[in-house]
Amino acid sequence: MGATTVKWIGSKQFVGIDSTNHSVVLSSVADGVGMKPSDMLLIALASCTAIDVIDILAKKRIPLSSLEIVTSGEQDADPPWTFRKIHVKYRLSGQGLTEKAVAQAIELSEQKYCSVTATVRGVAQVTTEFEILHSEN
Amino acid sequence: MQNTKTAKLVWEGNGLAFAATGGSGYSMRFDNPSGPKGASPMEVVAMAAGGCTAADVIDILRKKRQDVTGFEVNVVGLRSSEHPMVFTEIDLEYVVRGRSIDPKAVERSIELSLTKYCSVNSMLQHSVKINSRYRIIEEAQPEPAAA
Repeated sequence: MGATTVKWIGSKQFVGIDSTNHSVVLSSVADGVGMKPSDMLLIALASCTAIDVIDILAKKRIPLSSLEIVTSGEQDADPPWTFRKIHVKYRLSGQGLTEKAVAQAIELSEQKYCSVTATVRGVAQVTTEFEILHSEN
Repeated sequence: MQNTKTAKLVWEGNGLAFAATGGSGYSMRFDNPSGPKGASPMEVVAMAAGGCTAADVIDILRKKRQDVTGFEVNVVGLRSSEHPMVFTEIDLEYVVRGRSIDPKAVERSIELSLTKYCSVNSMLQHSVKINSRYRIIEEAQPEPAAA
């Protein structure tokens, strides 16, 4: 992994720049101009497992037509506000999608491929659930 | 008592690009590492770690009345080569620019952030070795009171 940089732009506001020059504005909630770092952690986890699930289902020849993931985290009330529980809810649709295929894809991501989940699992308990949306046809 | 926080990620429908919104309502885009549309998930973790400790350190330095004129945190993560390719080490380099910055204040701010306040690092610390170092760059000229 290349170097990422977080640059101060005033008050508690920062620009994060990754190794391939994608940028994101970060700030405290009070400053209100960008993402909160702890929100970014939940989002990183969601995007990591999303990539796995799309890939795994595509390999099973079940292309998705939509995917949405909601992650919720419970943090300690005191500093450093560590997340103790993270729940990941997948809502997805696609022709030929079965409960079994989705459950397998999520399990593989969780147990084997998702680096963000693997990195935080020792501290937070990560749980999952999914819902298959049936399109009107 | 615990606080709950929610974030939502929506796949944009082709490739591996996503739009994500955090609990505070701000959004960002993601992509797989080779994609052009957004940052990769593990780099976002690195930026979250950098942003979290950066906010603490700048806050503490200002409370200590340090005359900081510029500040950045460079984050490099080392990952294992086997799946799930977790972080094994994260290097944080704090670069503080300013006038007569006290190195002890910088050291103390970093220590307080990493041991006490930074939530993202508290999530990583159990499995990742976090290395920190800092550089102070002296601002050459005091700024005139009025331009």
